[in-house]
Amino acid sequence: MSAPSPAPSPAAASPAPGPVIELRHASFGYGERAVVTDVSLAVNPGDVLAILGSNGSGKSTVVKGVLGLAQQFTGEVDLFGMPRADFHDHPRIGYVPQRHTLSSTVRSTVREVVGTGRLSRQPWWGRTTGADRAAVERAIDLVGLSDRSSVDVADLSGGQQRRVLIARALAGEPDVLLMDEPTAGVDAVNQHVLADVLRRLVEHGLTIVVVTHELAAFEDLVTRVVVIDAGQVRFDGDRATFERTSTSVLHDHNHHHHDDELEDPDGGSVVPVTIEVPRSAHDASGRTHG
Amino acid sequence: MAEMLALDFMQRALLAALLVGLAAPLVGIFLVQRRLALIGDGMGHVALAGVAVGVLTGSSPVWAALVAALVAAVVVELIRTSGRSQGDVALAIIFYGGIAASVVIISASPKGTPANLTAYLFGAITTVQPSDLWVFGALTALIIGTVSLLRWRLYAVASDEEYARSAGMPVLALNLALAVLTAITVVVSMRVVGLLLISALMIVPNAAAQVLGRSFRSSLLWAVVIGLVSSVGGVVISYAANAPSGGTIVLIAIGWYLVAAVGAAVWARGRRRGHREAEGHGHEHGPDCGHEAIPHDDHVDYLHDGHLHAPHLGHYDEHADHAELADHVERDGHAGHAGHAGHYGHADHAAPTSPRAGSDRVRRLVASQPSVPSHRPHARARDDRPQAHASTGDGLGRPAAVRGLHVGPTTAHTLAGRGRDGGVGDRLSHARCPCCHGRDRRLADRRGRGGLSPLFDRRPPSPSALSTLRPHGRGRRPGCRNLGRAGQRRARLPGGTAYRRVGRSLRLLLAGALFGNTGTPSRGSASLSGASILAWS
Repeated sequence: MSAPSPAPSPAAASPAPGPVIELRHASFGYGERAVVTDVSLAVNPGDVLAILGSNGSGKSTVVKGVLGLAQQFTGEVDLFGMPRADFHDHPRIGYVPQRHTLSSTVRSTVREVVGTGRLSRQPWWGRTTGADRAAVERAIDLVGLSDRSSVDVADLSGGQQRRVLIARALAGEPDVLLMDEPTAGVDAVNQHVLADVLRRLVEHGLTIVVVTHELAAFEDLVTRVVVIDAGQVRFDGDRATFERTSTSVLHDHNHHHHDDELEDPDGGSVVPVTIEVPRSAHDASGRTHG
Repeated sequence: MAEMLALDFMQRALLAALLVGLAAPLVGIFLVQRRLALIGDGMGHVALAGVAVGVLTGSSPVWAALVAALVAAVVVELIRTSGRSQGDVALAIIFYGGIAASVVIISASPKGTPANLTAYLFGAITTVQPSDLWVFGALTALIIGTVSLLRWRLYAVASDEEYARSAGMPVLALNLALAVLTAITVVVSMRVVGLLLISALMIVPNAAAQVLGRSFRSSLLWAVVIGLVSSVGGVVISYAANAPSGGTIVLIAIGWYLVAAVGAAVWARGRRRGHREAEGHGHEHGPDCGHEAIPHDDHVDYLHDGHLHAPHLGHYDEHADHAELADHVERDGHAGHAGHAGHYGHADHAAPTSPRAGSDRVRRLVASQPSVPSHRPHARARDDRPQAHASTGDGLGRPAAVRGLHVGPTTAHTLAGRGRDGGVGDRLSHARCPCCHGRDRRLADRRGRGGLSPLFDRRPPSPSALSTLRPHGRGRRPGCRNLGRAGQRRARLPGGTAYRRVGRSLRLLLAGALFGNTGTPSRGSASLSGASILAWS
């Protein structure tokens, strides 16, 4: 086998070239507090979109809102042209959560962790097929960990664990990849490796949304930039425009290197906008385990 | 022993122990994973209230306990999911309410006193009723069936709930399923292990298995083995020593844990000796890193500025001596580093300026030399895949070394493990294996006599094939050739089936028929390398 065939099926899978993800006047938050308000955003096939913002600005909340992990108060979220409530083709969206390390309460090999990303493509009664195994190996190969697929993830470095998380998202062969702070807390060497991985994914035609507070690592990959500040979209445009106007748009995020701070959607520097909403059954859906 | 097995109640107790030993660790691993190791204990408290109700009403305590535990499991999970800050207080109220209610209820029963609860709390081998066994059997079958069907989903939810939700998994349903499984396990275990100790049989075998296993799958297997040995052994010993079965079972399980933990610590100490770390290694090796990757039994070495670096935990181990490598490189007519992208194997070293031409030349040369089959390195060079080497990438910005890896004699020897040939690659790869020393070479010799297919040992492994090489053999030092039978099997490349002696003879016969030379390769001929091929022409 020479080059691994692309794990993610490119945009060709969706015949209608409409936006992959579309937000219209959406507000997301946790509990009763909206963290981001009135976000309108369309991610088109082939976009490599960076969502920039300082810690606590609500950029992660946008991604979590798209995935249904944060509460949605107002507006609409369309995924592949379908309202989110009707969308059940979950494997088409790959999510790389913000994690500094993988939970290592029990032994898990890289292959086992990545394999969980394939589950959404398997019926619950079904057994793992050869195609599933091949997809998992391809995903591990794409992030450059094929020499370590049988290693306990707890023995990997932080940057390698991030790549395991990316591989897990790729194992489901998604059309779009949502990444939350993939470079936070990763040293320069590993950021470089991560950027190489992303470059490979872009070459495969994957649509990528990267939430980050520093653009430097992906500068040459990103085609479009969205800046979120204080829960609102402050800028949305291509990279060239962004670079021209960056001084006025960005306050401090380029000088912000609090890599080790976990972004706390409930706290942070932003005063959350409280709006009146009825409590819904999914009230606590945003509060996951710590 | 026969006398013990002849007793009805002992047969039942042993069967019940078998079921418990199977079921408890299967459920327990997910509780360990979710850091809920003590939840089984709380459910045991509530099940005790069910037992008391059963004793009071004269119905089966097992069924009453099952109902109580199931209700508690669902309520506990719902409280936990709701994420209220007083969640643990609510749990405490439920659990202590259960044990308090059981004591009060049982003393209200005309024929019962709190002392009657002891057998339920700590387990007793004489208490297993024939009707219980059917219930336990069915419940255990349910547990095993559910876990084997849903284990990877339970694993996914337990390891990353947020991700599982984003992937559309029914997180709440899976968590409830686990809670129900826990309740069922508590009930299955109440006769033999006791409601106060059942949590131990769910957790302790898994704690020991985490030390012994190297993956989720293997640690789960270990846990079941330890659980079975502990529960069945505990029942046997409790009969012989006239001790309460629950306590005996748990003590045996803890004994296993101590043995595993101490053994692992001693083993790790031993492994640290003679283990050399690459100093100040800022570079991250991988299939794309540009350094030559040399599969070596159960791991991959990266040729990095004249060092062989093998990934180990968070660092890299030194797997060969610098001087040896420099020597090897020099003999091939190469100056400088052998380890950077752009080196495609020794066949190409013959004409460094034009890799493809070099290979073609070797090919022609090999074709014109009938005696070549006796010279293994040449044979390899002929069958190298020059097209893979000539390009510097595959369109993905990946150096050719990724696909071609290292296909010269070094790799060929490494893959074939043909120590007897005495090729350069052998010394390179094995001279400094710090844990095998001489044994290593003998093993290589054995494998050399066994022989590998001439096709396989010169084919470069694909990147995906690399992943089937175990980078870190279980319990073996990286770099150790002396893998044992199973390790050797694993370490072999895909398709690299071992030829039997018959196969080797046939191969030699065939070579003889084609090229008129049936000689067994000699030590001298095999040491010819790329440079000597060049000189030959």
